Amino acid sequence: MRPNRWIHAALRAYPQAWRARYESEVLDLALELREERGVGEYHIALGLLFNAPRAWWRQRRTLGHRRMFAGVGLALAGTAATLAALLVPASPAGSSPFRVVSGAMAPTLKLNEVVHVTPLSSSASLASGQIVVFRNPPTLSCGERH
Amino acid sequence: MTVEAIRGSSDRSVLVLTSLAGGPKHGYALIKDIEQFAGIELGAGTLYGCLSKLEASGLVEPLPSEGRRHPYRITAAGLVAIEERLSASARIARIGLQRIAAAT
Repeated sequence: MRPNRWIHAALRAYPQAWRARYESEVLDLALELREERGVGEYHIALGLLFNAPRAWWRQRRTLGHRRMFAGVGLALAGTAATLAALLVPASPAGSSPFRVVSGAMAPTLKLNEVVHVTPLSSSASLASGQIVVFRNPPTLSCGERH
Repeated sequence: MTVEAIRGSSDRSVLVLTSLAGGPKHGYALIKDIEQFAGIELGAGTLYGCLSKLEASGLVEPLPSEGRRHPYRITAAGLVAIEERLSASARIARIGLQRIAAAT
């Protein structure tokens, strides 16, 4: 049987960079532990396996932590933007934006202004070209009063 | 690099730095020393997990190998970090012991 077979197998659970740096040292230490203390190969291999996830985690933090944090930041920003788009209405609830295509109602409604129209009836449907009668908002201050 | 590098880390890092504060040591010597002063036996995986983390943090550094032995030494930043960490622990221990003494 190949010496340190289980230890070699356990070391394969580590990141390549970690193995390139520490594998020979760990094998030398394992040999010394076996010779000096009679520590079993399985025992050493299990200990190595137990610590392998930490090595992966640290590698992610040290080598790619900027990229990882940037990715997390982008994901959070994207989530926040999506939530904001869903929760914060761009226009008043139930309203639809319409562009004023005629100067006939000037100066109340000037040409190319955009108005948000809220139907008084939920069953009412609005489309371009229809005549809409506006009610003067009793309490809202929308600039100049008429 | 300050104590932040080992803040929140396990006691194993503190044990390794404390051992190396007494002079450079290779892996097996570290295990023996820590066992002697702390009564804790570190395995090869645990020890090299600590050493790799501490080396990446700049708190320890490898020395040229001596045959199959690979010594490490503590850096200046490592000394500062372990001194701050142990001072904080000593302060907590002192207060805790005073309160225990007062309560008994």
